[in-house]
Parts: sequence; C-alpha cells; structure tokens
Amino acid sequence: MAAPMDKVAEHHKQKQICASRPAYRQGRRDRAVKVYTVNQESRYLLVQGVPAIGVTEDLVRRFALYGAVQEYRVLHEYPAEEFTQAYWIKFDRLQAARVAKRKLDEYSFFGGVLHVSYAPEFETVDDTREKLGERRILIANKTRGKDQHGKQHSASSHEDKKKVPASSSTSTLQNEPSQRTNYQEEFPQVPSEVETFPALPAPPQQQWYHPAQQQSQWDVPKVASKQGVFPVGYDARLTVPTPNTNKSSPRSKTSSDNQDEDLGPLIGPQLPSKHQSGDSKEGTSGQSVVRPDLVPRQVMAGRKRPAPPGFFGEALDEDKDSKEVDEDVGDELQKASCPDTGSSSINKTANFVRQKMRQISQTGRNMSSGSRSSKSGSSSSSSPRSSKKTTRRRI
Amino acid sequence: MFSSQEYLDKKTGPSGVGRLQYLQSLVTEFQDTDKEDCKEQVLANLANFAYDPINYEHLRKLNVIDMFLDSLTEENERLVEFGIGGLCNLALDKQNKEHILASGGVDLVIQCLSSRNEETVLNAITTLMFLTTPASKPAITSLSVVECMLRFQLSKNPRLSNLATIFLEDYCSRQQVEAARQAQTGDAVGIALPSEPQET
Repeated sequence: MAAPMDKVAEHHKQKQICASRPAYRQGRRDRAVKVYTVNQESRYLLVQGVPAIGVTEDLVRRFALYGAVQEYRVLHEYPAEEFTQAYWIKFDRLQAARVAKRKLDEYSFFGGVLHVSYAPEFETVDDTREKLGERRILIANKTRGKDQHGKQHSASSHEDKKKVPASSSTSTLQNEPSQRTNYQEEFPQVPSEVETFPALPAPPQQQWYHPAQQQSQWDVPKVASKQGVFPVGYDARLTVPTPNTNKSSPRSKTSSDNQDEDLGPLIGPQLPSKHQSGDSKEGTSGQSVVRPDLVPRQVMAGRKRPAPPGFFGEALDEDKDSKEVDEDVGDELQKASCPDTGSSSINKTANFVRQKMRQISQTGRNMSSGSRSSKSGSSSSSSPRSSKKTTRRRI
Repeated sequence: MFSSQEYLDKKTGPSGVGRLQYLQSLVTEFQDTDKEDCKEQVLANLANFAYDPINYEHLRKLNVIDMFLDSLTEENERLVEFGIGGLCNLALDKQNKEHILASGGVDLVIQCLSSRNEETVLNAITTLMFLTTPASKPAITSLSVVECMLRFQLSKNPRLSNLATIFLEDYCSRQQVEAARQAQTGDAVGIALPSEPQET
C-alpha cells in the first residue's frame, strides 16, 4: 500500500515552536508542543530540506554515523521547497533512528536546514509488531529491575527500622532528603550531601572528550561545547597525529613521546610544534588526523572523509598503502567521533546498500532474459537511488 | 533512550530542583491555571515524561495517571490526544496497568477510538493492547471493539490498518473475529427468512 504522497501527512509537518512557556519549564532547545509515544516513533525517517545539489552520499553517511542505514531513497514526488529534496531513510534499529532524529533535526547541512521526522506509515505489519514487542521488552526489563530494587529497598529499610526509627522506604514529598539517603545506601559511591555553602567552582577548564568515560551504549558522542574557545595559538587548520594513529606507524619511542602519548588529551594543541620536529612520525604518510573534539561540527560534516572502500560501488583503489592508511584514518576519525557506532554502522550501511544493488541487478537480469518486454512497470528493477516513485514494499 | 538516576542527579546538581519536585510543580500548574494553552503544554510535558520508566514512581505518587484519565473526557481534542498519549506511554508497567484498570480506564480508552484525531485513535488502540490481561481481555475484545477494528483494518491509512491487524491477529480469538464479521455483514444466522408470498 503506497503512502499518500499527494497530501503531506500531519506528522511530517513542522509544528510551531511554543513561545509561551514560563521560564521554569523552558528547556534548552525551543520545541513545539508534541507527545511522542511508541506509535509516533519508527525506524523510518523522512528528511526534508536537503539541498538538491547531489549530496545524497554525504547525507546518508551522516545518518549512518548513528546506526546502520538499511535503505534510503530520494523522494522526487514529495512536495518539497524549491531547490530542496526529501529523503526516505530506513534504519536497522529504532534506537538509531531516535538518536539520528534528535541530533539531526534542525541541523544545518550544506546550507539547508534539515527537518527530520518519523515516518511510521512506511512500516509493514511485522515492523509495527516488532516495534511494539521491543517496547514491551524494554519496559519489562526496566521495571523488573525496579521491582528487585524496591524489594531490596524495603528489606534494608526494615532492618534499619529495628535499629533506628529513620525514614521509611516510601518517601513523601517532605522526605526528599531521606530519599536521597536511601539512594546512598544503594550507591555508597554517590557523594554525600553538600555543605550549605559550597566552595566556588574551579575556573573553567577544557574538558577533552575521552572515549573511556562513556557510561552506556546509549550515550552519544559529545564534543566540547560549541561555545568553547580554542586555546591561544591553536590553529584548527593544522592537523595533529592522535596517539592512536601514532601506534600504527613505526616511530622511535622517546621519553618525550611517551609523555605526549599520556598527556595527549590534555596538551593536544601544543603537539604540532613537538611533532613537526620529529620526522619519524611521518609514517602516517602525511595523513594526519584532526582531533574531532576541536573542530566545529559543521566543518566535520562538510569535510570529505575517506569512505570505506567500495562504499558506493566505486572501483577499489590499487594503491594499497594509502588505502590502508585512509581506512585507518577514516576509521579512527569515525571511532573518535562515534566510538560506539561510527565505522561499524557505516560498514553495515555499505553492506546493506551493496546487497540491495546486487538483488536489483539480479532481478533486472532475470527479467531481461525472461521476457522481451523488459520494462513492464516493475518498480523493483529501478535502483533505490533513482526511484521515481515511492512504493511501500509489502513483503 | 531512558535516563539513569545518576544522569538525573548529575543534571540537577546539588542545588537544583529534583525530578519529583519538578513534576510536582507541573501538576500544580495544571491544577491552578485557567489558560488552555498552559494546560496543553503541561499535559504534553507530563505525557512525555511518562515515556521513561524512571518517572513512574513519581507519576503514581502525584496521581498523574488519574489526570490522564480525566483528560480523556475533556472537550479540547488536544487534551484528549495528550492524555491518551501519556496513558499509552505508561500502560505497560504492571502497577500502572492495575491502577488504570481499577479506575475504569478501559471504557474511557474505548471511547477514544471514535475520535476524529488520528493520533488519538492510534494511541487508543495501542493502549488497549498494552492493557490486555486475562481479566481485562473480555472487555477489551468486546464485540463492538472488534467490529471497530475490522473497519480500521480496511482503512487506507497504513498506520491504522497495521495496528488494527495486529489487534485482531494477536489479541482476539478467531471466533471473536468471525462473530464480529458476521455482525457487520448482517448475516443473522438462525432467523428464518420470510416465506415467499403464495399466489393463489
């Protein structure tokens, strides 16, 4: 069943930002008044406002940073503003679609502002069933953990009651401090109550993003604050070999190098002068890497990153050395910026695209060999990138 | 997707307003305000909070579930939409489910099936699915509901037809679906057709 393309669905339209919120509940970002439930969310995304200047590859690569993209299409018939196009993107997982939407909605992309919305109307019955099932499992896991927590809670509080008539486990509004102390019993590493007059905060320091500090698989990579100032004398155009790439290239280990490696994250901007003096570091064949947390996001997005070979069916490069280095650099860049998904999701996306194109070329071959009239209105014979119609695939 | 307590504590800071207190202020504003705009904004805010199980304790404490149920009978369509959205978000939790069922939520949600608002209807169908327990199943899969789902299944709207199909296939027995189909086509088995008039 084809999704109605002549009329734009309500949930694809961008609602007006709410301007009348009182200050206490005004969030960091301006948002419209909208409720998202499991029905609104979907692994299918509709991206509008993409400048029609041949940036499909860049767009898909950008989205693929957040998770593997199974399929994508340009929606030529979708009503779009002049000089823009609408894209249809199918993610492998709902969570990736959620993160991608949150991160890339209102994102400035090649001069246009993206408008990303969910497109659940493209789901099949099985897709929807799977989505609801996943939600069930997630809630069950979360609440099961809480039940056990609660039982431990009440058990420990019963013991406490015998010793000290302290607060009960069922805290009320007035017992906020006691609720906090209950958490302390569970998590002794949580710092205790702060004194009434805390010391002045330390002067702002550059906080470098460190992959090891990531807590959960749901954390998305954070770069240093957009308002953060580069250190004096730092030039973003200069590139700095990261400790990771340095490991792959042969170099003489000196004490200063070891120091640099250890303090890499902290004294990053000062490295260029030190490393330029040591020519043995040029084993990376001049392909040095800019630390992603020092470069504005827009520059990152516009930058031509070395893609995994054959990503879009290109001929593989003969020059192995530079290709390996490119891969390393590309991988490291992506790993550094998206430690969890980065390169693996881009590779998965490339695999999906290759599979799809193989399927299409096979069906195309079968059709042309089977019958004389080869072009008999089969939409499956058209490649996903040049599909003129949006057809919902019903399996 | 979901927040952890450590994340919330870090975001709040030592002198910030905690999650419970913030939710309490939202509820207070909803009860005190006269402006429809504010009510809509607060209800939508609470419905979005209902997505994350970490807030369920707080929401139960503040009787937000009852607030959602009450909003289903409001005249303002947006309040109904946000209310049913909130219920859809929190209906999977056992305690929440019991509370909704005990408060006669099933009937209120079934009423939402006849709303003109697409999102309200979709959320209502999903809420019914989530509220299904052995005890509530007879009410949720009653004849009128199943008939309604059969109509939805024929809709051109893929979201609606998908949800209706899942409801009929996974939550209703074959007999129930058959009975509803027959009731729809007016195939009243057992009632004899009037005999042909005899011409003398």
